[in-house]
Amino acid sequence: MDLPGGSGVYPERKPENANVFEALADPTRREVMRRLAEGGPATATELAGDLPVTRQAVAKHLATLAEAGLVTSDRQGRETLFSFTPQPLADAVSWMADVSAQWDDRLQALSQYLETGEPRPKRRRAGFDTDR
Amino acid sequence: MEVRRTVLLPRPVETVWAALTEGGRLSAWLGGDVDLEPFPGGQIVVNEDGRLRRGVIVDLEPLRHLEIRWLPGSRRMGFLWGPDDEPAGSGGEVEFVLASVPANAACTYLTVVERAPVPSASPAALAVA
Repeated sequence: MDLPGGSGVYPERKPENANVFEALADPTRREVMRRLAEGGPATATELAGDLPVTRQAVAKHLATLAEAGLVTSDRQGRETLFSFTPQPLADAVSWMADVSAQWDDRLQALSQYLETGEPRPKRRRAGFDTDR
Repeated sequence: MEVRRTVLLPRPVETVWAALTEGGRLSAWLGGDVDLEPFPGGQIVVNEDGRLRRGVIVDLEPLRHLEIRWLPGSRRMGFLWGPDDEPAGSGGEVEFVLASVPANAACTYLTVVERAPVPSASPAALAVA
């Protein structure tokens, strides 16, 4: 497949975390990420040289990683360099921690409500701006 | 991406189901005001401190299953607080699964699954797909 090159092609996609864990579910993709994180930016050809897979397979994995926002591409001359971008991973972990904590809180409230029949008092999330 | 929680609640499934599908009871434990039309395709509106979130009942199987898909909005993740910079085009889903406890009909297992909003695909994402 022909990967679109040029700086800014992948970064146009707003970092989000919907596909982060799916992207990381594949061992080859994790290896590509590890290689980029530890060894710095590399081309698909260089990455294929380090891994027991074809350049085409690496390109496909890079496309999946790019879709999840975990790598960005930068065209330099005839080459496209891929770099690891950790932010979506941090965002995903943060989302999971936040949602987990909120559901733990809400389910605690549900359990209390079921036991007592008393509605919970109105409360605001700490630090949440209330002006809009 | 999803978060999944299962809790054991000290009430029979009928009582738990009512707490999930009757607006007044939902409001009682969520802390906001909730209106819900308890049938597939029905609407749900959550109002907390003037912030609204609307959703659609995707699936409803009495005493067993309730699934809600949130319509695009801002600063709410359905029943939860959302980030201030939640991107437009996102929605997210929440799913409740109930199961009675074998040998103890007075208790219910409730599983909540919260699925992350998926932003509408950008041209860049389509280009590499």
